[in-house]
Amino acid sequence: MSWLAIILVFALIGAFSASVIYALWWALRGGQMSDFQKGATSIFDEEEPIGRVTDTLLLNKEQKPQINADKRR
Amino acid sequence: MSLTAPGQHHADDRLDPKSFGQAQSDPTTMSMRSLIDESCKWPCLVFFTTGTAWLVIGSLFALVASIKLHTPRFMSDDAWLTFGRVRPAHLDSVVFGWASLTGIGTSLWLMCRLCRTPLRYPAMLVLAAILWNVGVLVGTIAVLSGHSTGVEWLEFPPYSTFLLFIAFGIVAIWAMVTFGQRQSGHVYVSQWYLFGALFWFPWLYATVQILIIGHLTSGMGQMSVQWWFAHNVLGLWFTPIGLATIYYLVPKVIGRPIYSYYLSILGFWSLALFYSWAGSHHFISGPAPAWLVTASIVGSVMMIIPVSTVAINHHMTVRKHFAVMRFSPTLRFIVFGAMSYTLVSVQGSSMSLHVLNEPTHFSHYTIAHAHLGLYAFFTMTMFGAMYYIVPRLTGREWSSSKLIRIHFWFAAIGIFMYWGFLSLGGLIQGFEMNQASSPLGDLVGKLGYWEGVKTFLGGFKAQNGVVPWLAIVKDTLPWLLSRSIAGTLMTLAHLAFGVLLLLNLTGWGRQRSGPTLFVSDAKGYQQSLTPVADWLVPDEHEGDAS
Repeated sequence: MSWLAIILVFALIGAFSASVIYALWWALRGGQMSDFQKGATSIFDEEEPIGRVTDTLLLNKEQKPQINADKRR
Repeated sequence: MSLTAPGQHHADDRLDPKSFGQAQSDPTTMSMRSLIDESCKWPCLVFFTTGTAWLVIGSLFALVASIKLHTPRFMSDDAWLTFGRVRPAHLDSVVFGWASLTGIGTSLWLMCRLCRTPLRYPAMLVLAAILWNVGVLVGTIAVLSGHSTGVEWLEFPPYSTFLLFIAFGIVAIWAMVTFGQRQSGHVYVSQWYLFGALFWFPWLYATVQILIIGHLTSGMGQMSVQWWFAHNVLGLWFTPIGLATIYYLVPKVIGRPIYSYYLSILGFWSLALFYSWAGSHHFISGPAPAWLVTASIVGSVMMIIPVSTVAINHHMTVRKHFAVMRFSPTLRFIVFGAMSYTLVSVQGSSMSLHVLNEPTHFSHYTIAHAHLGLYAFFTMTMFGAMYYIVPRLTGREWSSSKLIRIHFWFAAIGIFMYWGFLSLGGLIQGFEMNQASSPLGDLVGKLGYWEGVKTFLGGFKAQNGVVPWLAIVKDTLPWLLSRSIAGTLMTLAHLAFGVLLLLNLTGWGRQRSGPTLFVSDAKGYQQSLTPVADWLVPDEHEGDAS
């Protein structure tokens, strides 16, 4: 392996490691790891609250499901 | 670029299916999710559609290559259809065509959903998709016409790779801009994984292109870099996208937050710490420095930590909700992918150990393992994601639950037949090549004395310590034939999915007014939609559990 290759490899490793450490520092400083319960529920909102199954494109929670499937149990 | 009726999600919009689409014409009345889905429509559909086309093309290449292994004269008259060209054409078209395109498409949609912001600059992303496809097309033609670089996983020539880099650069810049404009303060675990993937892939790809294609390394150094890339492109490019998808869609489909957010974050950072060490364990008993191989083995075994966190989280989140899999195509595909992730990861860690690596490394066992990762885990997860996302983009439900069932069962049976038979055949092949000299080989060799077991194993002949090479080759034939049968099943599954996608995009299929589920057992379906009492906060979500 040539010296140029070694320098390139170490430059990439350095840039990569620095980026990872910065991301970790940013997450800790920004409180991303302070409230895990909040993190888990952050993808739910008023439109799709916890407890609502969403694999039903045209299904309304007040409606009975009009299920499209062949007769099969 | 005009955008037509998107998927609609707001409860008020869903009351009357006949009005579907009409309420979307005025952006001021649309919910944020509807706006996001509408903005994602064209870029995501271009990525998904072209990715699926590459899946079908890549599957046909795979079938031709597989049949050639047990019937060498099959399609052998033309140079471009010889094994040495068709096999890398299969690998590159599914890795850079299917898996990367659908992975990027899913990432775009997830990023917008998680940032709670509509997709901006859609034309730029469509351009990126076109550039990526041209790159894959040019690269595949080059491989078939004999202009491959000859380096496994990196067969595309530089002029093709250059196009991929430009396309990826556009996607990466877009992702950073979108993240900067996010409306949600919290960064969900899926976003961590997506950013990891978008950051790690160019690092991996640039490193190997500079060192290998730029001819800065040779010999053992080149091999070390190549296997580092080949291993990490699965672990640091496809795995984060797959896990991001699972961590978002499983809670969304069943309406329950993930079991332990702490574990999910621990899983991400431990993956970031340990996975990039892997790759050099492919040189066990080879000419690589011992410290390099040992460090790689340590990293591979330490992967037990992130894998365990993911396995515990997925299982405990879906626990008590497995009944939904009976109905939901998305959940069935995604859970299949999640369980396969655990399986392939544990298998991968075990394969880095001397005792198993030595007899299996140059056998079909490794091929089976690679397919378990890229197909059973990643591809099945992407299928699940597309079953969820595409109807929200086109505003049409899937037109046939029968075709979805065919798709699932052909793919599921196909991949496990592929993995199971090829793993067994690979083990026998490996033990025979090593003349049963490893501890596990000795054990199987002793089992070989029993006539019944010997017959089952296809005539294991290592008990005398010497197996002729031709006998080893012949012993692999039944397993290679089973591989072709399994590959045929998977190809049929892909054709079924291709037809479903075509019907959905064009609107030619049966128009549905409700969700397309596997089973029409409405009562059972209702019962599977049980509330998530342990997560509901009465003050905030009162009434939502109905």
